[in-house]
Amino acid sequence: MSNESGDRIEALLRQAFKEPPLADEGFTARVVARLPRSQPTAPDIVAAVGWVLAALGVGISLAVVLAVMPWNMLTFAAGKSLERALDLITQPAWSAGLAIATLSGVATVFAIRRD
Amino acid sequence: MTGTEADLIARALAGRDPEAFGTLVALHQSAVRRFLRSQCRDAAWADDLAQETFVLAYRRLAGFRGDASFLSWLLGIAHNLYRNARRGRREPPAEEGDAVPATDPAGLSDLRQDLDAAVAQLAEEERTVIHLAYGQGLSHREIAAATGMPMGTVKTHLARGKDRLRGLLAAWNPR
Repeated sequence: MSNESGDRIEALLRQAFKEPPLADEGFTARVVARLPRSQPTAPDIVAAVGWVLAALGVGISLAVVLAVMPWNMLTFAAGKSLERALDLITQPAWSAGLAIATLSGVATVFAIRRD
Repeated sequence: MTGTEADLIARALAGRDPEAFGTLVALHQSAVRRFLRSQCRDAAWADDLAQETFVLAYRRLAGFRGDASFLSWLLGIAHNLYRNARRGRREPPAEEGDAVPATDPAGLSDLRQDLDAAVAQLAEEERTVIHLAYGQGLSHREIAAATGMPMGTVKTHLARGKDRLRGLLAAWNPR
């Protein structure tokens, strides 16, 4: 693409998009009628709670995994049975960690969608 | 952001003047509706989304930091709303001459009709950045902020969009 042809298409686009504003036709009044009357600047509570849950969930599940992971890895390293490793994984701490991680994941997705 | 605009935002945030946000809507409704009409293939749907855009902007007004123009912030909200709403809708395939007119058909120039038809044939991202750059006059940085695209991607879509439009609008290319 030459600069000249680039300039031509840009000039054409600027010319083509130049147009008068769309008539209001009551649009502004309809929007103002829909505005919440209470706290116009209140933060989105749902998104805020979602972010707090997400941060807590990530922190707690990371702590749980770090606390339990060495035992699990040692189990494999020592050549113990798979059943023993599964016993460790199904301990309440692991289950709780998994549940919290899942909940925090859902909370994160929800918070991102709301934000 | 103009001084008047900043004052209107401050008044809307303070909650003392409920009509202040209405003035902001009146200032920017045309640009937001035009942008959404360029994205949607249904003018009524575009206007519904424009209303949603302003209501959501009002709720989130405290989050507007003023590091980009208020209009580009509004267009970012509009872009996200359109993308979310589009997932639940089946769009008809783009066909030449099938674009939603951005103005009343009676007042539409031949050039504008050809442009609408050509823009309708672009990929969605190309259509978005072309309209934001030439229809709204946003800078590359503002387009990147509004769409969430990296700056390089914005430039690529702009270049590709212009290349395709150059071919589609060849008859209009001035000598």
